[in-house]
Amino acid sequence: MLVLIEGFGLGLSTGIYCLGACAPILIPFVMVESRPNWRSNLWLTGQFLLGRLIAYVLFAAGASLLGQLASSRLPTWLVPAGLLLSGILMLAYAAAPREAWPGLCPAVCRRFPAARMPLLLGFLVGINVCPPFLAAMTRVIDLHHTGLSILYFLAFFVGTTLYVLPVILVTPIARIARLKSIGWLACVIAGTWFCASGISGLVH
Amino acid sequence: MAWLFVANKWLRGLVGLSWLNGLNENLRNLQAQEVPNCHIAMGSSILNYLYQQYLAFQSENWYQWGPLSLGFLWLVIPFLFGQAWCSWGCFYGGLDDGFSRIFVKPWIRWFRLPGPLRDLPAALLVVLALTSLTTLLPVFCLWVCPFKLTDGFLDPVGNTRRLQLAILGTVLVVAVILLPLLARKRLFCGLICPFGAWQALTGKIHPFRVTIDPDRCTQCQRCLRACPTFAISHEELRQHQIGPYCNQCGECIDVCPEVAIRYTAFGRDFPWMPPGGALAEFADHRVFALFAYLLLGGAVGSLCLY
Repeated sequence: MLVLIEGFGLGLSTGIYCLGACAPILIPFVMVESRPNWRSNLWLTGQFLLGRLIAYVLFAAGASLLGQLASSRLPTWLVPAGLLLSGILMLAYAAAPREAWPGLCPAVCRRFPAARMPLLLGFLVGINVCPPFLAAMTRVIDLHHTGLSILYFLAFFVGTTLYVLPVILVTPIARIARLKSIGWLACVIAGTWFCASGISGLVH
Repeated sequence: MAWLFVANKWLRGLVGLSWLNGLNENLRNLQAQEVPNCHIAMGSSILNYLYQQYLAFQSENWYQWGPLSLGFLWLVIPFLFGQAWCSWGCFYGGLDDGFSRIFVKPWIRWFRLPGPLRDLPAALLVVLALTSLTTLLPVFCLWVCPFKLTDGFLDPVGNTRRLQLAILGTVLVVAVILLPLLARKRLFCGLICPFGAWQALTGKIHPFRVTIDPDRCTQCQRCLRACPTFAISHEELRQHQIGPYCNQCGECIDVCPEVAIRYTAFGRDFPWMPPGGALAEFADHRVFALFAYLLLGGAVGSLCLY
């Protein structure tokens, strides 16, 4: 119980920084994909959060195992690689046709439409290590218990999610066609920015 | 009315210098220079300003911090000038404007933008605001601003600094000098400046509008060709509308042969200045701009005294 409260408290107190890390990826995507009804936008944000949750759980398990192996090191390439992948994914999303091209890739487009991307984006954002995330990771390394570590990260996830959820407030203005255009351009710019940041991190 | 046009051109420079001076005076007490004090960077660093103000409220000297007074100026400027700030107040935009007027005729005939490119400033505003918050740095100043006169915020040494200077120099040469010179368009103001997008949003509270009279408009498209910021598209003109990024410079009003375009308050004629009446000539943004300059000078002056 104490672990849950601690994780939730950390998420609640530092969630604004998490939002800073998530927002450049999530907001342009939501601007393009949002519909003028709450349910579909909630579903969209839910998929993004689910991806983030999966990343958190895997990270918690990994960090706990590291702790049990008495090592607290993460590979240094992990964060820039995550940024680079996020950037490539955003650029690919922006470049992808809005509708499936039946003549070119019917099977692929049916299986992997752009609308399924929030899960992957959420996962990549999840492994984008921000300061609160580092604090949580340091804590679970000390816990030396995989189950408790996952619980800690679950509570941390709930605390930080409260800051991410307001993105669905875009719903009332989602019918504005210009918003899609701005979101698409923002995807291209943010994707380029993340690619450059990722490459810069990998080179250095 | 021509004398007003000339007077305003000079005033733009004067008000710019005094405004900058006022800001510097006002920001002398800024304890940590973590946010820029230039108006173009304000919109794209708004989240950083809010964060700084949040920190300031937790300190003892919260009232001495810059963001609060900048926020006050922000409220004053959209109300006084609205989007016209970009045409009549912005001294950086004056450079773009100046280069676009050197040649009488354009070397490149560029009247329409491809696809969604017109929304580039708004997209830049969104991304810059979010990435600035993520990095806690003014990303616009570091990577985009062509008017950067100091090395504030830049990396002190190394390849990153060289890359930043190369990008800033390229934006200056291409978007402020070369393309405005050749196309007679304000390329930086129209396609890059995130503050323009900010003003397009906040300027909605400002009563002045540029309005097309559907009964008089003959769709000759001279306004579309004359607009220096691509604010009139074919589609919008067909519906007798001006785009949201209009800087209210009045170029379209001057070239319209049918006198179909005029300044209005929220789309309606000023009741005491009906078209064709004795006072119609004064229903002009240039008249309004003079009063706005005086009021802004008073606002900045009072901040300096404070």
